[in-house]
Amino acid sequence: MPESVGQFEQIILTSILSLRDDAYGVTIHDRAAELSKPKNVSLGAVYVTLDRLEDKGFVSSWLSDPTPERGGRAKRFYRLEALGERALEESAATAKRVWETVAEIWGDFTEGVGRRPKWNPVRPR
Amino acid sequence: MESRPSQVSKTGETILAWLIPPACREEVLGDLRERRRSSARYLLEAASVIPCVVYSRICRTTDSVIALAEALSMYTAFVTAAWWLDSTLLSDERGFVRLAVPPAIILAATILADAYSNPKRHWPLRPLFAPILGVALVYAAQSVLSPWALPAAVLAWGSGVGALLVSSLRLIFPPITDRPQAAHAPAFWQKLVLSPVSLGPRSALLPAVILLCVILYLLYSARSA
Repeated sequence: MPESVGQFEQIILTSILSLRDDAYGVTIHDRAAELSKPKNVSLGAVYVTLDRLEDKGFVSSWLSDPTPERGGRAKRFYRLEALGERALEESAATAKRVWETVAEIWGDFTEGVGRRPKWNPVRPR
Repeated sequence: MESRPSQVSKTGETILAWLIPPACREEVLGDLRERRRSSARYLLEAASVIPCVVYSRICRTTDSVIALAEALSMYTAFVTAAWWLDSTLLSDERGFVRLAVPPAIILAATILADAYSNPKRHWPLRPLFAPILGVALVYAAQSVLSPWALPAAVLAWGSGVGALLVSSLRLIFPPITDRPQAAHAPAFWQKLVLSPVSLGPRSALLPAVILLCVILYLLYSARSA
């Protein structure tokens, strides 16, 4: 049973998964920023989370060859490991159950959180 | 890849490279350069990234149990030195707090030295370097923090014995600087493949000279006290 992951860790794991072979600091940050809208994501928070995920054995990393557009600096690429895939799968299943329960009560609000009905069954109208 | 509007200043990048721990310097500097839109934004982003990467590096290289053991052994060394050489310090209102300042400085220096050590460079004396640096900083800080300064003899004995204890702890449980610590794994030293510290005559010369200087200084300060 893999260790549970927090919300930001889920976002970073999803970013790495969706970027496939192009997952490094800048691209992971950009994808994570897209996924966490409207919240801002700092590059520093991405580095801290990537290190933590690597320590947990969820991702692995390696340095590429230096690239001229980065001033001759190398990129550190990240890849999802089996443990990370399992953790992400579990958290996605939990998120799906939460989504289904909320959608059952509030109806489908795929258009955005701002357009959800302002009704809560446990709160008196 | 879109072209960047201006060149990154060499001096600025050198300063940033110096501030970023060597273990992640390459990719962090490259990422910052790739994301650069203007000098102001580059510096602002670097200022927000550096504390994060240093914190992350400290988390990876510092074992809290070992750090606590080092802090306790140093504090005990200073309290024992005060009890032996100047017991009035122990009855002083701020005596115990004053005695905690040098161990705190040595511990901070040790933690930062580990975070900033280069994992690609293997140096058999690495565990000894950080405590020696810490003691040097303590002596430098004594002149700045004069109201908190300790008597010379207490400082000499406390830092000498404290540094020896910390160095021994670090030789037994060497700091990990080049591999991540897995979650739910036993404490990191249990995963280590300990290799004996191989000290040749040349590499043993420096610690021998430092040790001799410390002993001579301790003897001199004890005699003058």
